[in-house]
Amino acid sequence: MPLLDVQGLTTRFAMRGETVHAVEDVSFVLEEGEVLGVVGESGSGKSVMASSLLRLLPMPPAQIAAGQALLQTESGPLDLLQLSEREIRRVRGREIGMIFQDPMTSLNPYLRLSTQLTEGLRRHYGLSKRAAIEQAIEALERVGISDAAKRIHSHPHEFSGGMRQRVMIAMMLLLQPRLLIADEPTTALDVTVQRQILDQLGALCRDARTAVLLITHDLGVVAQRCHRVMVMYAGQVMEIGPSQVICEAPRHPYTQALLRARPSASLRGQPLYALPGNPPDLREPPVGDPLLLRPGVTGGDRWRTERPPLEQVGAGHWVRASEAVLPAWEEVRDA
Amino acid sequence: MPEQVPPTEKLPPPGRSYWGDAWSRLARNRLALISLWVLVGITLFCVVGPWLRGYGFNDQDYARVFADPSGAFPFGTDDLGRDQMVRIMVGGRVSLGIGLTATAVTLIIGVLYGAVAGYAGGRLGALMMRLVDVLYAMPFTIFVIMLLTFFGRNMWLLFVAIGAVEWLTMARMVYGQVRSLKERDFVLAARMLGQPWYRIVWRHLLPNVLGVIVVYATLTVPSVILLESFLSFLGLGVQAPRPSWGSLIKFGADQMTTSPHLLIIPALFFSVTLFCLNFLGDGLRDALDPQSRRD
Amino acid sequence: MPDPRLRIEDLRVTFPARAGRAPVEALKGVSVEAYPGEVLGIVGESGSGKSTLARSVLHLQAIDGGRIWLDDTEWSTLVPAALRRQRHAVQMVFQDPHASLNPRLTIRETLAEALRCRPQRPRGKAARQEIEGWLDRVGLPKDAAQRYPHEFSGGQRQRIAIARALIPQPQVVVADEPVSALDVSIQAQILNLLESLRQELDLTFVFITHDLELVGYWADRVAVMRRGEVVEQGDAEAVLQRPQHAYTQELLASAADKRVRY
Repeated sequence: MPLLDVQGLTTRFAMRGETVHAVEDVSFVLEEGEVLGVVGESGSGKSVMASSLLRLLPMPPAQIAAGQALLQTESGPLDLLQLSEREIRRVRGREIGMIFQDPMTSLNPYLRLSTQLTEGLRRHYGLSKRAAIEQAIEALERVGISDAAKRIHSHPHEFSGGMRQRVMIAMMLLLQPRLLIADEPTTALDVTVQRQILDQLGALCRDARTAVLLITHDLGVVAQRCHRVMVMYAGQVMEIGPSQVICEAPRHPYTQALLRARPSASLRGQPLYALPGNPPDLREPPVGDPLLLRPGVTGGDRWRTERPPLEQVGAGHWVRASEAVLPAWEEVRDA
Repeated sequence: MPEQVPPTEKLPPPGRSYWGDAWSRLARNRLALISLWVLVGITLFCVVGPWLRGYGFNDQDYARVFADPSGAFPFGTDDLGRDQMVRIMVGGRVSLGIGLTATAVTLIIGVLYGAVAGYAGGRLGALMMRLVDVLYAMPFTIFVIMLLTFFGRNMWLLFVAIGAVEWLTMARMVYGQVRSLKERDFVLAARMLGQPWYRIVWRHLLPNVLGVIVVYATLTVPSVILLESFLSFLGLGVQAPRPSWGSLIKFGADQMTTSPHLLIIPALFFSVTLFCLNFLGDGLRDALDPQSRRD
Repeated sequence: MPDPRLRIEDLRVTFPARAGRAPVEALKGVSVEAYPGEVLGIVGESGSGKSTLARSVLHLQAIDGGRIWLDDTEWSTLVPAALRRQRHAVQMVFQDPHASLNPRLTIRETLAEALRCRPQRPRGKAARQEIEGWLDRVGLPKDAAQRYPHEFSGGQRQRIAIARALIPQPQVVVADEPVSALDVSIQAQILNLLESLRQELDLTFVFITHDLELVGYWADRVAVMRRGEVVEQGDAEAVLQRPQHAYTQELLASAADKRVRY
């Protein structure tokens, strides 16, 4: 049985008489100790999807219109989408950990780290204050914070952005959640720091068997760090499968366009493949293949008025059917 | 290599301007909208009323002192037999007038001072704000009382005295806003294009602080009216026989046991106005707050 | 080799001490040069001084030592009157397209401000045509002019910001992380646009970024900065393939970690 089984998750926002179809019928599973990368551009619904699972969206305007998300816990499976406010609060922090792009959203600026890091340990595991602090210091040392015994008594603002993100990971090491949802955890950081943070995340999931849902716009992070990838566009899953397969031989034309748009030294002197236009306006959700709404995309009439289904194309590799033909390189360049 | 022209993008139909957007948001805030209409009503009542009423605010008639509300005198009469309704109207003119004038003084001095200090920054800006701190530290109620006792109770002096208290907060607020705004990229871009400082302040900084200024101004009006009422209550406000809401309330409080309507009715006008101004201010803040804008 | 268009010699900037903090040497004697028509990549992480360098070149930051030359003009010591006349020669594209446009001005007003910066500025109908011509050039329809920034997506705003930077007819454009706030497919659009404009107008770019893949793709030469110093500079391909300095090697290793083979 998978650790997390999400079926048909659909989230909408009702704003000023309009409905934004942010997440449409998203399904996936996540196993223990697995890293699933979720990639997509802004507006693809990837962050809304994660916040829906954590039930962090303000309701209203947000509304989880359909779906279920079963998380295996010691006391049996829980449907995250059905829990009461009190129950979900107990699940967050204990069963599910969270790391955001800005660590300050999760750290209280007025409390010392010693308090924040030990709070959960003492509440969830009933440790004494001294034992909890000892464990916290050890965790800080493991994520590479030197002089941890002294610095544990500082406030969050005394740390740099990268250091704060390490503190968040230390917190996850201490709480050992079954599932970690990390939303753009390294986007604001320098490349050298990014690498260290991702290394530590990887270690966490290897050692503690934590499953990680890693939301990112960075295909590079996905290629190297994730077991599987889910590509989202217009609130829908376009392709999901092993990350190596998807990064080397993507099947969906959108994934192909995304990969081809990446600048790299080997493309020097050539124009990049830039899919024209912008992602669709989700106030009027695309009825058929959402890619057909991009200018320059041709063909694909089969899926103009009907939502294309996900089809299995390989071991664990699913692709949303599409007959869209991307514009040729020359056309994108000279259009 | 062929010349590359990027594909032209299509845009959705033109949306609303910032102000149009803010207005539509305010229009959906029922409480703020009702407040706006109530304020318009009270203002019309006070401004136009005295001409239609047929009594002067100082027309005395000893045959009808302390009359209870009736058809001829809906709000009753006072100790000199003056029509209380026309006195409330005229008192409203004074209170609202002071509120608006002193707020205008506050706006002009506070916004200019704060914006210049904020844009200048550095030592000059710090010095200008230290001056504000010093003025802040002075006990202003006592200052106003002294001013009025020495120079007599002149209505203009009252405006100036109240304005002098209130501009400090406005200046501080604008200073803070401008300081954070001037490091924004679009201000740097204007500097990079060689725009002179006054143009940057006028076109790039002030319009972006305007939302906060408008909101703060609507909140200043009630606090000024309150200050005038307070001074009236101490007997330092507007010169008798000219009424203000504050002096009417003070008078009514003295007659509370015998003629409660002399207290209740002006107090009602006064508090409804204050509530409405506060609701409108809150509504404006929500409508103009860039945070709540869908970007 | 031709003379450099932009030459920075031993540039020093120190931020004065502030409440309880020691003074910060943001630039400790930086020397780089950019030749006509080339893209000079400046790579570094936060705190390396790359943005201070950009602001110094734009006269948005006072310098404490060293010189900046633009062709034969000593750019860093221009008196205000001379600077006003020549300011158009160096322009900038900012990182965050949401912060770089004044939300209260229409696109036409923003671009008209850039037009005023030109030595011979067109007026009336000519100005109007010029603005519409530039909108078309950066891939936006004419009716974009009467709209406000919040009606545009990030990529579209960056196109407007590019038009604003190029309307004054600069010789040098400083681009500070011009695509790092954008989605991958939009990044590609903007990079293609910048490159085509570079070729067409023979612009010199100072391209500031933390992304080595981007430098490898676009820059002709590169200077690697760390803590206010240039630790390595040279031909971009050479530096990326045979990095000499340990820090450059570390940066490259971190970047290689994110490479996608496709």
